[in-house]
Amino acid sequence: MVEREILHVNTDDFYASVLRLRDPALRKRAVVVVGAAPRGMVFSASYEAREDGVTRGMTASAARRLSSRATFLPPDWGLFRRASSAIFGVLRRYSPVVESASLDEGYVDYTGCSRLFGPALDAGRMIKDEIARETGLAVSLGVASNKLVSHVASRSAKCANLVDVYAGYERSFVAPVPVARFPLVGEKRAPALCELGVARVGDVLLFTEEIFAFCFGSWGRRLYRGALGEDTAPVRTRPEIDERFTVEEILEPDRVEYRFLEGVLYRLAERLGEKLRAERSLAGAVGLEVRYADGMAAKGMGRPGTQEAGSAGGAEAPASDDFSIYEAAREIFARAYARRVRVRSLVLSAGRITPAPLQLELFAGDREAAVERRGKLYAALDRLRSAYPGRAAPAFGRALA
Amino acid sequence: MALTYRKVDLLLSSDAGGEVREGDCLLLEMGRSPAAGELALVRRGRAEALCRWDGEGGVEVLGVVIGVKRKL
Repeated sequence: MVEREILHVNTDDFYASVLRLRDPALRKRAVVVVGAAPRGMVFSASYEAREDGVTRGMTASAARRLSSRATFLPPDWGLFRRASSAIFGVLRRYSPVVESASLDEGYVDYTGCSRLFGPALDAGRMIKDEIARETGLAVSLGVASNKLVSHVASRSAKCANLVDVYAGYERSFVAPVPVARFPLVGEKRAPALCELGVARVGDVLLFTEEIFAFCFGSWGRRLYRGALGEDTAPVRTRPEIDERFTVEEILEPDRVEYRFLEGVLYRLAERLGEKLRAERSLAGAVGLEVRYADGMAAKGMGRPGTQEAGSAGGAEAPASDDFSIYEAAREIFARAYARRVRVRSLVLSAGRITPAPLQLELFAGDREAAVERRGKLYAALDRLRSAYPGRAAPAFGRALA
Repeated sequence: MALTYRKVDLLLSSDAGGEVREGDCLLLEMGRSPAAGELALVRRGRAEALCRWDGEGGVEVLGVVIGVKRKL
């Protein structure tokens, strides 16, 4: 079996660094990215601000007390997304299999690519140089035989280093890592492990896998496998999101009601559909990002299904109609909205963009006739919405939540 | 199980046959003897060297190399 070679690429201090590119006067100064006042929470803190004790998820007022020298800025999501897409553009030159874990980090399946670009250590240098040249950002890289260990490696590679863990030594490498810093655990689950006397990842192996599975279910089993340095998860390529087709709604105030959020989702689907139709484009993929009030985010991707007239389901095909986009978004939302935490904003985006066909079928059947009717309906709706913008525009009931 | 880093100098890099370079940091696992064929950092007399372990006597094992850290 071919030994896998996975690179985890992590941008150093991404949010602060991107804001520093916009305003070089912020260089070497403490920067804290916070949501809108007065409920603003710290979304990201630069290394300098972290030295003062500022951490992600704390309130802006607490952060101001801790770090009076810091500059507090609102997030510029458009800028963050552009920087992220430039980074992933570089990564895709080195392997066709690239997974975006968040805006600032991702995995590259480098297996077999060393024939083209040399060993991962050398490719890492080239990746770092290209990202620095094209975006001005610094990255750290971890190389290992699986995603989990490469993630731990890139964390220990901070800043602007590369850590290559040789195959067969994954277990030795993760053993001394404190459980709170292990990707599968995090700070919330660490106390439960500490009660068992598990302070470091290697301590997990003092128990049996069955005990961990009994205590913590499937997560316990995953953690046990992780402590052995094993992770079979593949690097999944997600469709590339087109920056032109991204819509966001920031909630004032933060909301938690599921039905209300579904209504917001429908409004976003309407806006995204309108953008796609204005550009005569179809989306083959829909992405949704749920941003929580505590700074955490969850995201997912799905495929829109073209809704047949009078039927509940439909074939998966590129689409630009509101219902198809909404149905895909709602499915992603059901998966992504797993925490009972207030939501700050929802971001809906489209990917795998293809041009909408201009030519209609010569011998149109029922399906084509339905598509044509729906096209006319949306064209009329778009005209009305542009004539009566905002809440005065005609809308479906579910969008009025 | 303890891990430590050890900076590679010119002499060590020539031992490793191109696997590591001067300026890299070796990631060493301490406190165990290497298995046959493992890359190990050893002390022979007063000199340190990297070698594939073959159970040779008269050397002190400083650690087994499990990875490398390189400044990008």
